[in-house]
Amino acid sequence: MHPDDPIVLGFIRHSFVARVATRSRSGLPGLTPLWFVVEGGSFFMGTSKAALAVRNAAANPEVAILLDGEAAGRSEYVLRVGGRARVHAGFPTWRVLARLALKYYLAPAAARVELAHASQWRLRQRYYAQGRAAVIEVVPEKAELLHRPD
Amino acid sequence: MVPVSLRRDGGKLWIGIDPGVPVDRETPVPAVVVVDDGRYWFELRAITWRGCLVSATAPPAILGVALSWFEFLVERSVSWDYATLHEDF
Repeated sequence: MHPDDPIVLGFIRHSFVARVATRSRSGLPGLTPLWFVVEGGSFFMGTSKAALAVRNAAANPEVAILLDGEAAGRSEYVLRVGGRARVHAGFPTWRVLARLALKYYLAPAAARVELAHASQWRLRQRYYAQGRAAVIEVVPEKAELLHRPD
Repeated sequence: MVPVSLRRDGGKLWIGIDPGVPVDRETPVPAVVVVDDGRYWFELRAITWRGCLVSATAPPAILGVALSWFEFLVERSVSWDYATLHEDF
């Protein structure tokens, strides 16, 4: 299945968390749930420079992403996207940041959750200040539907 | 990376995999299993287990026969729940 296939685009539109599978230089598997947005055909995931997914993707750029399409309701299938990763030090571009903000902070459901936890914003800020930012960009190369076991 | 079924039975963790997925049954297979939940920051929570899949010669009958079942031997686990973010004094 091509990454531009309408089924793929549907999963992207209805998914909030990407499970990102990586391998270390020695081949050990890593699996990290990350927020994502798609911009210009690439997946962008912001995280910490010290995160396992970042270190693995820098050492071994072949990665896979699993999407549930959870916002569309439970499906019989999940989508696996294979691609090549590039790691960028620092924060995402303004366009990617804007997409992340719209999807995860400013959408009505997101804003309700944010406001309910306003007393913890300062702690979150300190949590993020502990590390340096990095972005994993994944250029998708192939996609396939996998049956979801019960 | 594949979606799996996870069961706890008899104090053990069992991983069910689609029989069409090739998995080495002769030797333990290094694996990572993630169970996660939530969409927005303060809803996000997950547990990550790192360990080995070991082929089960006689998996508990309760697991059924539709999937290939492996015992999951956990070596390390990491979990988080951002809603519980707090300060320790």
